[in-house]
Amino acid sequence: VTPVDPHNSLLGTARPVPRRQLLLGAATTTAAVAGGALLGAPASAAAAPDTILTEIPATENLMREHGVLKRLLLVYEEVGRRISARQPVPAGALSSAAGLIHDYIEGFHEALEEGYVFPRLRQAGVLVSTVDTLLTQHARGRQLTQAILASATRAGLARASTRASIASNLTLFVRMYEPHEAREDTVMFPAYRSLLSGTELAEMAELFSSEQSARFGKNGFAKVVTEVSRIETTLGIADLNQFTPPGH
Amino acid sequence: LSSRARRSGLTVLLGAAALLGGACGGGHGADKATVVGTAQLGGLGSVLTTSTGHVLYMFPPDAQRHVTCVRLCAASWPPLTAANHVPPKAGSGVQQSLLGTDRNPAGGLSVVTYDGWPLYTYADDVKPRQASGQALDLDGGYWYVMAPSGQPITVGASP
Repeated sequence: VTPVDPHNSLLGTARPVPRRQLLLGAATTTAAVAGGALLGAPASAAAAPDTILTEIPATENLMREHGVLKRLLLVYEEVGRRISARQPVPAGALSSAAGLIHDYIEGFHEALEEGYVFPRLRQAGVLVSTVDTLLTQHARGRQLTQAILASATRAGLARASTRASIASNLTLFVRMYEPHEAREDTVMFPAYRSLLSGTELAEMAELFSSEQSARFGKNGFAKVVTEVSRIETTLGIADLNQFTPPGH
Repeated sequence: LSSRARRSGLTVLLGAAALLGGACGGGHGADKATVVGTAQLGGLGSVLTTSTGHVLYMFPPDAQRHVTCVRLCAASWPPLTAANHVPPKAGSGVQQSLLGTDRNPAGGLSVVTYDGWPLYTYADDVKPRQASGQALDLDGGYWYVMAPSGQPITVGASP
């Protein structure tokens, strides 16, 4: 595995980064504040200072997947806005967005949480009731996605009743997942990180990366981001500048 | 993936499955049989469950032959396991003759089968008698609860 700088890897300018630099950098921001302080456990005590980080840290991996979800929630909001304004909605854009949520978020990202993150927290007796709520929300989200996918057709979007049902499901989905992912980023992942030694963190990173490659091939994350950009372009929300309010 | 990470990941995943299995009644000591029971669910009727009432699912791609849900699929759908050489036991309403086991491709404990279908729990069913995975399309196919007759119940879940 090639050592990479996670901030440059998608641009093809990978360079080695000392593990300690990355782990300690993260530890002084989120983990130490939210996780380490909460649980009284050092985030990276076992990290060797002279080793090289070969993968993006497991929790950062999960958080950047949340970035994908956030962009897809913006797509859902735009589709909902168009439905409310009785404007045309490209069926392909909606079905592609829902398809990405189904395959990448629900089939992959949430499976990582269900298989590795949540059981570890449960095992440690940490945030157990929150874990149950998050799992329940995964189940509800998957049901909503299945309904959205079933309706995201040209014929479905042409019927007023179906458009109303799609808009309602999109609103419910966005409303649930915004606090869901925010809670995971700020509370669950730091707590999870604080439970792992540096060695375990490195192993999890390798495992998460391997699972992603098995499901989506090499550079799977970059492919997903490219697909999200394509959907945004179709809906006219790709230009970041358009979200900047006018200044004085 | 290094063998070290594979071992560790497998340990964690199996730990997760054991944790869920334990909560779902699939946990067992070396000589304790896994018990399959039934529960009555609104809209679905009588369905197979673990001994603690957690609903069990079948997965059509298994083709009534062997376990195909592995790796991350098994993270969302932990299989119901049985100690090797300890046959699973039928609880009330369950036919002992339909119970069996299949080798788990991930290694470790055998997977309990019913009329040849490997049985799985759903990670998101946090309470007994929940069937939030019913008729869900995930991990390459739909998931269905099973009647004690051995027939899948394909009633769709509407959001």
